[in-house]
Amino acid sequence: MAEAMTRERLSGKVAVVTGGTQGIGQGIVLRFLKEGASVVYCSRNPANDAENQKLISEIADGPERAHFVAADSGDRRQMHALVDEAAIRFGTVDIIIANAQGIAPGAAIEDKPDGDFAMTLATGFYHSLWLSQAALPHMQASGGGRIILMGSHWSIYGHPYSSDYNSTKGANESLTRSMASEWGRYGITVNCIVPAADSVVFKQHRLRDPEACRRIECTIPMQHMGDCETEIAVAALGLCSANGRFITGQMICVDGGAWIAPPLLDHKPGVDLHAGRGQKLVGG
Amino acid sequence: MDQIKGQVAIVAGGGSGLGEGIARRFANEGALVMIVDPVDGAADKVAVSIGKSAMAVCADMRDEETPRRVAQLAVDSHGRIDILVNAQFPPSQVACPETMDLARFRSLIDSTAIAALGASQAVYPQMRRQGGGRIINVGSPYGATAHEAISDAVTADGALIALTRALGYEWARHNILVNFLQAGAADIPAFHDWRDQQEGDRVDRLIAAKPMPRLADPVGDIGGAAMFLVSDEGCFIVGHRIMADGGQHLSAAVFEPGTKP
Repeated sequence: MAEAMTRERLSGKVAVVTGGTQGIGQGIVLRFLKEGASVVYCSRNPANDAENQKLISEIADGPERAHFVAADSGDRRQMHALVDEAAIRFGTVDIIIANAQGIAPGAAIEDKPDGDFAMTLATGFYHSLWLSQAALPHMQASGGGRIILMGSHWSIYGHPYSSDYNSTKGANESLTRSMASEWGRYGITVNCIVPAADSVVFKQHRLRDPEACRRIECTIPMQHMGDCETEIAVAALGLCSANGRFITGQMICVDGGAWIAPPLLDHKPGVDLHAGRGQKLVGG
Repeated sequence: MDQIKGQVAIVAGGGSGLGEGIARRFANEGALVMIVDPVDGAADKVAVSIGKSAMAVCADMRDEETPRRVAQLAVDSHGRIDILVNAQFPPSQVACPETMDLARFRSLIDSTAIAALGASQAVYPQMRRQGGGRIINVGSPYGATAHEAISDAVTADGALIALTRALGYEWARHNILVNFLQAGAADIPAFHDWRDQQEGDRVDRLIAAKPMPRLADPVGDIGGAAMFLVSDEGCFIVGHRIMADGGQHLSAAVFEPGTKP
């Protein structure tokens, strides 16, 4: 995939990105830094930031414009502190990318513990709400802003054994429309990206079962999962730059056309896609 | 600036309104623009004001031979075709469904969905040779909803949305990305003409009640959304309906001909 051209499309802008050390979040952090933005990003564990530190050091002025915070997206106080940190360090907050999401092991609806719903909603939906609420005064003061939440094909097509995740993404989609309606008057646009990304989870799955992954990718009209930086993050960039200034309240599928037909996925109950990544359960 | 420098764009319906805004934006971003419009002198006027990066063709894309002739002209003049915009969308005949004139109804479908398919077929071989391309079908808010006395436009818009999805699905593997751009009420002469026929202050109150309470700028807002779809920003978006309307689709604002605000 060709490297997207760098054009300083976010020069002087301040962005907050959650879940910014791998996958789509990492792609957005790197792309936004290359386009001139200052970026405050978080992950739960500081050890997760090692790869970013190296990649950011290769971007001109990258280390000066990037700031990592160890924070849990399921914690209201920490999400407010993250936004405050961006405003203190870089003067304001122009862009929120609510990308983080905790994932519980797959389970049938009748077997899903309430705790899984609480954790998934807190780290995905509530975190989107808290970040947006915290950023609003800054965006009002500067005359506008951009907010991007994350949706999912699993939600659109009711994918089995992830009802907690699907409901969370559906709530994000709904919150997108509500915030777009209420905050458009402040010059704030709000959109929800539905990605089909070559994520860390999918890359791991490909190592285990390349043929199954090929079958999944062949169901996507563009025949592949999107590269996190050059195919997914660029859409977030477009929505946050001048080109996207009148696009709001929408679900934008950045997925090579995967939304057009139900996806072929092979989840099973009991499979933990985030196994070994230390997701702790927290209350809403 | 220069986001699509040196690319060649055909903009059908580029002689006025939304198509004109997109053509001007593409030219500002460094593209060579071929403006096609059936209205006498319309394409010429826009091309002259853009300058040497634009050329004009007075033709109707619904005519069987026009798309192929236009595509050939683009290849002969510039050697390539990177972008096609189908923004040819004549106004509704404005009548209740029980009295819609069938010939005029058919004519509107011809000018929109059929013309968009013909133009897409005409640029397809060149885009295949180049390894990909971008196609945008431009519509109004009609297709996903309905309003009084414009069932012809509602149908044409719905057909364009479905055509976009179908071509997007089938041509994505060739990196030819087809998408639909839905515009909100825009600051163009056709809107102001319509407003003048209504109670103007009621129209203005509806605009004020939109999430982003202003008209779309055809170059900055509509042209910007078009840039989103034809630049690297839209390289993984296919068959999609993108609305450049400041949230109008979430509000009760209705600005269609034939409807009362």
